[in-house]
Amino acid sequence: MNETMETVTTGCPYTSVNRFEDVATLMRSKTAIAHRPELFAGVAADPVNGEINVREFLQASFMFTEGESHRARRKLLNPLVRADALSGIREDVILPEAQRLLAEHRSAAGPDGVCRMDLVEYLERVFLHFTARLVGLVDMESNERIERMRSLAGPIAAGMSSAYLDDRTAVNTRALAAKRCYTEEFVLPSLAWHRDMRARIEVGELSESDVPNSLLKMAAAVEHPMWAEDANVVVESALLFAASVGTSTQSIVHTLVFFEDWFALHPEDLTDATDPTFLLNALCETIRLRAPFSPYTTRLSLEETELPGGTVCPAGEELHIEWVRANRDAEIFGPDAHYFNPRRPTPATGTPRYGLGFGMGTHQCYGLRVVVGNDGKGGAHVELLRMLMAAGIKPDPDNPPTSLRKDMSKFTIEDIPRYLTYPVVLTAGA
Amino acid sequence: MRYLVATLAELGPGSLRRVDPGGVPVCLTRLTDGEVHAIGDLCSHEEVELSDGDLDGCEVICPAHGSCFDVRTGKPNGLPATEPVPTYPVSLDGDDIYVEI
Repeated sequence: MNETMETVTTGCPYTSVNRFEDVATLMRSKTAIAHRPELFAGVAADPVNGEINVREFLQASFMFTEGESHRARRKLLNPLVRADALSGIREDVILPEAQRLLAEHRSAAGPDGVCRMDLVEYLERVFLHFTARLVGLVDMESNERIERMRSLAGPIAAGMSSAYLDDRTAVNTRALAAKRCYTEEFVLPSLAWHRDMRARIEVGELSESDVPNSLLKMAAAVEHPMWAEDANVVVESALLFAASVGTSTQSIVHTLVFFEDWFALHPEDLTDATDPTFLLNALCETIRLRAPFSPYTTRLSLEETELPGGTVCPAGEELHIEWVRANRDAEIFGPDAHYFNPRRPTPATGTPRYGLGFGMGTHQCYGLRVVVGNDGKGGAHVELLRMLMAAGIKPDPDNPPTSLRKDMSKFTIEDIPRYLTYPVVLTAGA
Repeated sequence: MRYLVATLAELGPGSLRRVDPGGVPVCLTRLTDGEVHAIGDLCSHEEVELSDGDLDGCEVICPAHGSCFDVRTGKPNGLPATEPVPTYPVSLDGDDIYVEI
């Protein structure tokens, strides 16, 4: 075990948990910890901005709730990512949209004959279509509406995680303005449509199967008491957008960034550049090394717990769960655990290739099956990677990427860029 | 050992419930065609009670993370679970349902 893997109890009023076994033990406990939005939002360090984040973006979401309220909402939402639902969305929404957008870019070469596109924009637009279906937004077919939604999704996502970002006040100002537009232009009209559909179902004009299942369909039926209030539905849906679009986009961009170095060092692997298994293993490596694209997530210690590595988490202590550090355990992933290696052997311990990249325990990532597939053989993300590799994408040498400005004091192991733009050129034909 | 755990009247077609024969947590299911099956009630992924989940065809869906288990074999049909849950023999005597542990 190398020196970066120990669990450190700092002099600050929090404990970092970053050994793989410690994180796994703690997160699987049903009594030791709780998710608290005020910790994630950093209220203690910045009460004004922190409370805005909690009130406006976090506390009404099932992702930041514990107990029955979390369990009941997650159970209701789980069917939206079941195998048959995912397969339908992948085949009917994600891949056609991805192909259509790629064709658009291919047909719009610049004066120099080079086809360029912003990879972040491309992926966000694709995943916005997917998440809009999951949420149940209506009138999302046009490029204009998707682009409008994209202009709002980024600021809202930044508002949710502003505790990790620089200049929180500016981030929150933009996030609140975006949330107002999102509410008025997208959620409320869609909710009104679903309520109309619900009324027609109840009088027998429509059957349940006439309206695809979605968060807003369930909200219109008030399948959970929290969804009786429109404001709560806005937060619930916004967090699904942030979690789905943001992390999906970043995971694919980061994989392609890793590939730049990997293929330079291992040109023999270019023959597998569109192989689904190779791509899935690469995506899992990215998730292991970078997800959830923040330096840590927070939990509250509910009871004194001694972890396997010897660290004691006192009751009431704020805990920082450092997934990306825990995921570099050389005993599990091998001596090159700190590095991207899509040829890494499957861990002998039964640990998945992505390690703790989807979290663990009650709040394990809702989107796990979206990414790795119901059968673990890859979901839409792998197919998108395959399409992009087949298109021969390369970083645009004339346009460097840009990323969010972060509070770097929170990043103890390495910078994890959150790309705002990643310009690429398409070097292969259709 | 064979335990009387429920009656068919208590377990309608397409339903599931938790029973504890001999203190063992068991998820008892009755498929829409009438077949009754018994599997371990704790999901092999995170030890969540499967009887709190839903029965869809021959599959129980874990309420927490959505893992699916075939009630006839105990085998997982969907991530994140990768390990099976135990199965227990079921027998009927008139309206009574027995599970062997």
